[in-house]
Amino acid sequence: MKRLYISLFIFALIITLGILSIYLISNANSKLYGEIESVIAGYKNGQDITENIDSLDKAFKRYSLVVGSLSGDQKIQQIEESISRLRAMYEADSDEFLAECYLVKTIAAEILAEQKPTVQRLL
Amino acid sequence: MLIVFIRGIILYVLVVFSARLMGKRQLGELSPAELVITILISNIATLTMEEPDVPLIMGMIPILTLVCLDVTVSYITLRSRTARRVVSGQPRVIISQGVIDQKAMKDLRYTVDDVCATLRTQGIFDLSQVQYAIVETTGSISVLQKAPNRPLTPSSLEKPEPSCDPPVCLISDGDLIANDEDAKDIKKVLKKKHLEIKDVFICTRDANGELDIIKKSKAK
Repeated sequence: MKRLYISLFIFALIITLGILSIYLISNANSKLYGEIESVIAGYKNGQDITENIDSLDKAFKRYSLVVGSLSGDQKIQQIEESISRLRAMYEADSDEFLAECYLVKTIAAEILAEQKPTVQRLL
Repeated sequence: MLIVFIRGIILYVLVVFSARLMGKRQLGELSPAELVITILISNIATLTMEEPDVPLIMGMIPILTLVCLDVTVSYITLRSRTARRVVSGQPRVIISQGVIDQKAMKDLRYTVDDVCATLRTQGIFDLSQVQYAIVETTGSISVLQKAPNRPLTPSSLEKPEPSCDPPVCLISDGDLIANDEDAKDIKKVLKKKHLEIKDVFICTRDANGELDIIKKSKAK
């Protein structure tokens, strides 16, 4: 019976961790989206967004701490590469600056979607 | 390199904990489901150790899930005969009264060569010496030789034993598993002893029709 109780406890712990991970990633994504939106808005308004990009970089570091332990390294690295390119793109006034910002949002959304147990994901 | 080293240590501790939680028996005694789970756990642990890109928790969770499922299913099969039958199957008699049940062998996909090979590993080189053979849920075959071919024992010296099948289990852990005809006889005997079926731990009937009843330890 002791083994059964331990097993049921571990089951409950795993389910709780799973739900918690979705909540944590969703929370982290919201903060990251906020920073990206401020970068995009500033860029569209023609403002100096150097500080926004720095703020985004810091937000990503906090994001990677939370999400890195729950998701694979590959997507985190993709976001990191995109964010590191943003400053150079902004300074070079690249046409792909906004596309790169939206790419970061898309990858972050994919990381959250990977955690959700939908039918498509399970199959 | 250090990452792989530390992950190896963590996974080793996890695998040892898992093995302790499952209460593993020797490899040869594992049921098919248990063997599959053991192999799965080793594969998952290997993958997680070798791939630093895979989060450690993504290796630990499937291992713990499999282990906990195994323990839970074991507990359910302990309580439910039907669940036991579904998960582990049931032993199947392939030789009874010295006669081979060819239909049973066909159902089990056992060839004559398989049976003879198993008998040889048990030191039996003549099929005609076999009184009773049963295929266990683990796939192994348990064999009872005919009385003249069995090793001599003090009791068989005094009174030679006839060749007969081993006793049949009629009640197992409070559940009646006999057919209707035997059930009526058992109920009569139990009534005389002031017992009910649920009070009986095991009841067997030998070839002579004699019942051997062992009560549950809580029964009066």
